[in-house]
Amino acid sequence: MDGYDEEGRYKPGKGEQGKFHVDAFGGTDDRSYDFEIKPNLDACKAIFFRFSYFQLHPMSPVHPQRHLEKCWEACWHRARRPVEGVLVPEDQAAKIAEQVLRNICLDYEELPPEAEFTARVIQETAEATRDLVAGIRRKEADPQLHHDPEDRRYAQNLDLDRLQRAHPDRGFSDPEWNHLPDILRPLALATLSRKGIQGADAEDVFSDTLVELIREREESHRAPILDPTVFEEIIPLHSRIVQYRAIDWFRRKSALKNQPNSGESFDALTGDADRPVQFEDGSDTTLSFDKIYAECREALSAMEWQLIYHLYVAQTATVQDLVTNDAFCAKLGIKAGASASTRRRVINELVEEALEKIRENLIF
Amino acid sequence: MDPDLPERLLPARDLLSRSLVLHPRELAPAMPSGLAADLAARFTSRMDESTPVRIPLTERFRNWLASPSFGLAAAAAVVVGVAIPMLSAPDPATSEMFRGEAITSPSDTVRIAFIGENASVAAAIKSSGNFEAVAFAADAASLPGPKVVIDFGTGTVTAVDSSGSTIHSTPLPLDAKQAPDAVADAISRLSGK
Repeated sequence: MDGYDEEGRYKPGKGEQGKFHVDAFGGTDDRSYDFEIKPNLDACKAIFFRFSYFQLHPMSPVHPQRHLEKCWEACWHRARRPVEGVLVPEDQAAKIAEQVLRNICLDYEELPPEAEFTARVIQETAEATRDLVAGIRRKEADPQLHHDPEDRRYAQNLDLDRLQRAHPDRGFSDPEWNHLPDILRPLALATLSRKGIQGADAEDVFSDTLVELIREREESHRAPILDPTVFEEIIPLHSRIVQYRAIDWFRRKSALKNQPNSGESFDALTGDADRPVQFEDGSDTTLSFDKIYAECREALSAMEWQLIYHLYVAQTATVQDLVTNDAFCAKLGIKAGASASTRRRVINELVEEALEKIRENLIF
Repeated sequence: MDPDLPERLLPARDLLSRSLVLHPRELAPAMPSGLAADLAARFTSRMDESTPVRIPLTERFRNWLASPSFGLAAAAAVVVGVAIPMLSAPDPATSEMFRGEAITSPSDTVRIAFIGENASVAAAIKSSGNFEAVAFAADAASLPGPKVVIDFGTGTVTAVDSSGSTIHSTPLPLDAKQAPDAVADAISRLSGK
């Protein structure tokens, strides 16, 4: 059968090779994409519509179709914006999201719990989309392709490949680096100013952050500048470095001031109720669920993930929904016949425990 | 969502609630019907084969003990258990039988009485273990109710019912070891009456 391998995975034919990329990004890519298209699609549809719903996971407290729809939405949003500043056309985001969902489903005999599945789907969607965008930009030699026109943080993308090119002797010395400080400085100085670091001190910290970008990490022996796939990822990467360097600056300053006759102590800086020093960047208040899941995966049990996923992440159920769900309450260990108030109390306790673990693992 | 959450947990909750869709103003298109159909076809059959969650019998029993229905059932059982004896209480003359050890009517007890003396046979019967010690009485003739009379003088074992009629009589075995069996046989005839 043309277009399918032995396992039913779709392989673009000769004429189709790279067609998706042409449509999506105006480029061509010879990579093949393995997603499954059932030859008996009509039969599948009949099955789907005959059974009004199907259970994806026995612990699920919500309608599985609802879960898949939420998962699809998250997947599409991530394909549309794999990283802040990259924008993919809506129709092409839909194609990417569908392909990723199909490919991931091939890896499962039965679907895993919702949180795990969703985290993986959006993570792989972001990775795939970033790879595709980077490939297009590389092929077209235009680093500005698919940059969000509403992104006003800086004027223009730089060529990431050139930034990541390291000379054996001179290291990261491509002339493209001459433009990078102009892009990063306003963002960094604004962040440092919010933290109370200004003037020459801020310039010193900023210089340190640029050095940090190309310094090999002790564990991986790899410079942070090599991590991004698209240029837009440099911005949050550098932002994190700026925040760490700001903390270092305060520590150094407090160490100096803790010397005899040196004035304020670090505790005075951080504990002053009138002028508290803010180490958290209040502007960075969003975090993708796949990152939250990766950070806290081990800390929470499967049941705790299920609870907070449905209540807060996907918002596909309320506490009241769970209270009235006998099967789910049984899974939580709540005795059959327990009163609604008892169920609510137990669920609230479990939720608070799970949120506490999230809070502790993300350190805020 | 949950106004009862402690304030320290609200940032974690808010972070989670914003984590799936970072740009909520953009609306995702509907899920392609073909994708939904394929996912359903892929996972429905396996889910159909999966066994439903089964709760062990002991767990069900524990759950039932912890449920309000058990409380109602227990209360009902207590009410029935108390009310029925009260409603069907016997007359005051026999009500004292509710106290102390269970007492059978004296008229129903088979007594064993000896007439004359034969120490070895009497000892064999008493020590046989087949009869209660309280069953033995010295003045058999004056006892009411059923009795077995062992007359060493005539050498007979006689079963007399509560009306005083002799319903069975057999010679007392010469072998003392066989005497208890003869007495037991006589008692069984009274009981079987």
